Amino acid sequence: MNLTAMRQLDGWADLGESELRSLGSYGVERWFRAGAPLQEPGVGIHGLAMITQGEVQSLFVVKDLALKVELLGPGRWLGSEAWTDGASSLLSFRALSDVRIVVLPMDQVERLRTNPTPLALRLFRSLLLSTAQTEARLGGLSAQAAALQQPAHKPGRHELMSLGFAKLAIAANFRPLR
Amino acid sequence: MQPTDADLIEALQQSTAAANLTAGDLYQLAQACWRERLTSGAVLYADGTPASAAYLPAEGILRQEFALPDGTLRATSALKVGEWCGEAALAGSATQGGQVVAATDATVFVFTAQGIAQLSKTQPGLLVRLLGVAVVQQAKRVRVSQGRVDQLTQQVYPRTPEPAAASEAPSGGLGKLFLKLTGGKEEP
Repeated sequence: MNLTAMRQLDGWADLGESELRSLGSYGVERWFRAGAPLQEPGVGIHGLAMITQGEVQSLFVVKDLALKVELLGPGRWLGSEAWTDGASSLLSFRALSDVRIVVLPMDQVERLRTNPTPLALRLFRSLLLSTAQTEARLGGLSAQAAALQQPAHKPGRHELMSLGFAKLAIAANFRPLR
Repeated sequence: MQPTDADLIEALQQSTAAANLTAGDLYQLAQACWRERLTSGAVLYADGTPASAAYLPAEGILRQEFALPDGTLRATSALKVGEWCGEAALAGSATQGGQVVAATDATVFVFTAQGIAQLSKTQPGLLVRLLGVAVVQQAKRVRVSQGRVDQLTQQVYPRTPEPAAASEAPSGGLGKLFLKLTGGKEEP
């Protein structure tokens, strides 16, 4: 992990060398080529993962359709659902560019939770902020999905399209939003 | 606020943040918050407003709402005693996401951003525990939201059930005849 790169993340500007070494002891760095899947529904990363470089798109995928959920950049987290009784995410995550992540296994996350170091405070703040952004985005989608499920009316493909689903082939070739 | 106030202790216990809380922790938490009463229908905070405080419900039920594309607000989850809301303020975020309204007459503990900043200096371990609890609660709501979208997709494209096991005995007459001719044994 590169100290200069890590210091670019929101809330990490004053990260020290010793903290970076400590982060290395809790987590494992992984990298993915552009286009590679990071996580699919039911097949998780087995822990919490923070993006340190690159961009990741989260998607709902069903049949030939996909709904873009969030564009995740450095400092954003994947896998917070792992804390909900081990349930995995229902989303797919795909690398838009070459991506580096730091994966913290859940036992190390629990170790951090009970070890109040500056690193623990920094990590949990960052995780809370990221999950709050995801909650806001998914909350809006959830509200729309609930509104589309009318009684005595079976929703169809049209309802999915109005929620924002598009052809997967088009979604897979999109350009990152700026 | 007193560290021995029963509703503060109860709210913290419901949020599971009370595990291993010392008398000193409770004192610090009591110093960092105050009690606010809401009437049914009162808006605690709106979407995009400054994240000046986090809230821990002590009594009653709050309703979390998000906007539809036409601007109508729709409830997505209920927040009960011990379930943090406005927790973006715990992490130093600039704004709140979504709107929270009192679904019934309610009481909340208000933890201001300044109080939280003070906790981070005096009791960082306690703040880490609170952050951990808030993240777990958020993660559950995220999972529920995912489930709602997934439920809609399943109504449109039901997932095909697993195929029946090959060893199941045939129930029809033709199936039983075939089994007999091929030397298979019929299960009792």
